[in-house]
Amino acid sequence: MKRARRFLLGLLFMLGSGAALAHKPSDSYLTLTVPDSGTVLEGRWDIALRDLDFVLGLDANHDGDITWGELRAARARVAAYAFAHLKLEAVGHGDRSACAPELTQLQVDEHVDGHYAVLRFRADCTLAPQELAVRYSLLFDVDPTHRGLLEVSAAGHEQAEVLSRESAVVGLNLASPGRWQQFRDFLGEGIWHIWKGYDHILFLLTLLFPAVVLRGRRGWEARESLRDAVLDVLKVVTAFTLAHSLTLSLAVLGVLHLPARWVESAIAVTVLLGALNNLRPVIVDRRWVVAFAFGLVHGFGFASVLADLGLRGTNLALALVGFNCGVEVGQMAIVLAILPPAFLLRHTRLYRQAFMPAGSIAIGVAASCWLVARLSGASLG
Amino acid sequence: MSRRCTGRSCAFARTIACLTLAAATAALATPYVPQADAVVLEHVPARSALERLSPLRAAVAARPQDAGAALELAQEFIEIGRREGDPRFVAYAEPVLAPWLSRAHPPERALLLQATALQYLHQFDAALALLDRALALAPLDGQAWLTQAALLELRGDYPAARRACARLTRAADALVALTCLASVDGRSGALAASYASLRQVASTDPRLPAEVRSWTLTVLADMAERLGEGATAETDLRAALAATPDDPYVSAALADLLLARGRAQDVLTLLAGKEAQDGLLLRLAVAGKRCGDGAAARWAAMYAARMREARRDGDVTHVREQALFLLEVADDPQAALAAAAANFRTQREPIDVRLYVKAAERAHSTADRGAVAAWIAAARYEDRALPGAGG
Repeated sequence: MKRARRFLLGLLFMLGSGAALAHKPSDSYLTLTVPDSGTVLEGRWDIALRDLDFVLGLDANHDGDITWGELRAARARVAAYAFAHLKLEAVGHGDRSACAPELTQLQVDEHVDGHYAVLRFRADCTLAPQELAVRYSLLFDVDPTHRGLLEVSAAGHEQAEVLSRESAVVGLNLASPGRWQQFRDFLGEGIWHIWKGYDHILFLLTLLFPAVVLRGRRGWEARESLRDAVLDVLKVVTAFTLAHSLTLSLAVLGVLHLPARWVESAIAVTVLLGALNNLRPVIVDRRWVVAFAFGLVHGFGFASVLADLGLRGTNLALALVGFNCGVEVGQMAIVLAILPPAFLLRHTRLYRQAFMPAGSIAIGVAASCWLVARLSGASLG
Repeated sequence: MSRRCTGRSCAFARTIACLTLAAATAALATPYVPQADAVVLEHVPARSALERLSPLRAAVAARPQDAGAALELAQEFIEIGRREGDPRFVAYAEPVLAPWLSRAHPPERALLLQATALQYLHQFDAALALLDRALALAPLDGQAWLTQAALLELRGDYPAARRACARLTRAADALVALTCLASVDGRSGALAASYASLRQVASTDPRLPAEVRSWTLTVLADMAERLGEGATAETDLRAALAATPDDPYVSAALADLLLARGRAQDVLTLLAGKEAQDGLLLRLAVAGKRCGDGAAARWAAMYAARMREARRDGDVTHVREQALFLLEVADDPQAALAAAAANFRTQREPIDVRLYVKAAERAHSTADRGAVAAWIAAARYEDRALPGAGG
């Protein structure tokens, strides 16, 4: 008999081997709200009735149904079990203090996979928390795949964490929630934008090509000293940065506003003029002036990108500085990639008589296409 | 700046996003206090099984050194999980097995049970590795051979599956071994012959365990359907369901057959009230849509919401169901094809082959049609129900 029973397992799984018919393992949903002032956290914790039934046996009359009456009768046991598996600790002004959760109301809610008990609770931390440590252990002893989906809202910011047996403890900074993260996000967007926005790269290239050469009587001649070349690049890049930072800030702060289509068209014009200046030099020594003037235009372009990212609820200064730094990092990467080979090749005719003109023509053609497209309202990039 | 997604994955993401929007809003409804104590909040079908297990759970807690009790409990949990279609019970087996698996020499049965749990969670490679270890310890364990055969057949590795079935002849009942062999041969070039021979030896002897009868009948039904004998397949599956009425896999198989035969209305009758199980809910959504049932939109939204939740949990095991949903409910052939193709890489049951072929047809993908046709030819797989399959 024993053998027959054991054998059945394989048979059972033979048929359904490929298909685990159910999706969703066990989750609980824990929401904490930290007050702007005061020491008491407000909490809401949704725990699946099926989970609570497994550990506590909610179905008192064993009829296979959990009723509201049965859940209500188990209120104290549910609260004791749940809160024994959640440790909240507040850190503030150098002190640490445990926040003891206390059930204020028991409700229910329907989730996609059934009904959940909703534990409304308050937890007094006795100090105003700047940081919050959450130690979660619900169900991990019986169900290692269980997860707690934590959401903390503090000072108008939402933070979310997934708590699992492997990462059951999280520390959340409430005083400045995610500020560093925000800064990093905008930094990343700045870098991303420079790399993605070909017009900025190409404009920079038109200014960088001539940095290693000088205009002589017989056309372009190689610059002798690396120091001069670097100084030239530095002047150009600094001017460009100052200019676009200025207009970017003015636009984001709402002081100045230009229609995006005209800005985008003007940017295309700057690229075109930059390319033409390499073919038929008009301004040679004072390219930094060009960089500054045209940088003003590019700044408006950056501003519309930043506006698209959505600045509501974020620290404006943080966003501006982060994005701008990102743009700078992106620019520096391009400079570092271009300058060394350009400097090494500056004596060659290839660079001066083929690469520079051909590159400039290509860039000029691309810019002309953009200009036409942007003026006509089509989108080619 | 949103990272752009392209092609199939994008279509898939978009479909899910659209379908789940309404459901997601509903899921975040305000919590409430029910009107009366008598309001039933949740049905716990496993309750009676849990009651029965409570002495065993107590015994395991009291005597952690008792391997027999622990392994029996783990097996019970896995069986409940399968029967109820609730993965949390499979998860409950894990901490029970863990102390035995961490030993220098784990008991063979612990390896086998863990392999079974991993199989359920679609970790097929890990499951096969554990089965190898189990079989090295106990080369005559019929159950381990059978599980291995099932996994190898599922992956479409028919020669290896056949070898595992052959080992069963020494380790198990003859009917079990024959069913195993007929199933594998019936997918690799000998459908008609295997069907005829299994039909001959198949017995409805009531003294056989119900699960064995049910399994043999489902294998016969699968072969009959692929031979174009839909009516016989239905008779077999109804008999299988009578033998094991609680088995959700038999219900799902019968629902799929009825849908293929254009009998969506019968599916609604068959699965009435079985929305709690995702796999059955999905069939309800398909059938409801086909006959314009009033509940169709609700079932589709429910299924989409569960799928979204599962994906958030990192679930990647239900590509088959995703493909079926996208193809039959969401009407998104491109996304369905992506899911069906991904699914076909790990699973090659008849339903997986059909889904892939159907999705490739609807999405007009010559490349995918070619890929599956090449596999069918190489494996000598036969199915008259496939579009384009000759008579």
